[in-house]
Amino acid sequence: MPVVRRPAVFWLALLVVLLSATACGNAGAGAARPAATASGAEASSATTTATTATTTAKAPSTGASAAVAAEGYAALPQSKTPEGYYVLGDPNAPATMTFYSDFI
Amino acid sequence: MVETEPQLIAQYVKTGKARLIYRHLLQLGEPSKTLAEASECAGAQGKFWEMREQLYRRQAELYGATSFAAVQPLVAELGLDAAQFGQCMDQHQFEQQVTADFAAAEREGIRSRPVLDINGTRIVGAQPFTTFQQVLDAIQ
Repeated sequence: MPVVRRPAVFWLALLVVLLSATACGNAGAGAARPAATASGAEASSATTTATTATTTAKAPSTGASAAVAAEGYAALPQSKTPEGYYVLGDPNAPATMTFYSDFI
Repeated sequence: MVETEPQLIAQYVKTGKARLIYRHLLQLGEPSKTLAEASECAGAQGKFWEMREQLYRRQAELYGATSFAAVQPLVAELGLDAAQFGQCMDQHQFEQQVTADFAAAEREGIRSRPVLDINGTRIVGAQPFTTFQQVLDAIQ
């Protein structure tokens, strides 16, 4: 069976292509995100598990977030607490996640 | 938090293991209040969660927003009644609601953002999904 010998320029070109692909991948991972600071110390809480004096709010992810949007919140139970706070999910679920935030 | 919330919804809310309650913080003053009111005005038309998601998606461009005009593009996008939404914003129909919510949050000891409280376990700041997962799985 004949052995195909490739010229050195072929291997050099292949190396350049591979290096370029690797560089592009890393650039995406380090993309800048809008930042917001969390100011002030957290007040005493019986079970505070993680506290950061300054945190970076991450930009909305397009993947998972889009998946929720595509399926629609309408498919999930929605209600309000007696105080008027919006509730997503089964009102009798064993766990209650209360999310405190603003939109900026 | 905004990145992990869709995972929390998919794995815990959709499966009936947890419910998610949203509380308004107004720590950045007027812009915070304007967007909080916008979410409530959308809620009056049954689109609170959808508006909330869009507001998060556009955080950068909405930074500093203090008027109805800033969120107007979202009104059509979400299929809201523009006249009704505009009236709601102009008349500040939910100003008292969001202000009272913020005051109550402060009384509950909330001093920074975002905060996720899971059955009394308070997690502050943007944390990886596994942090929330550990707390939630211990409850199930």
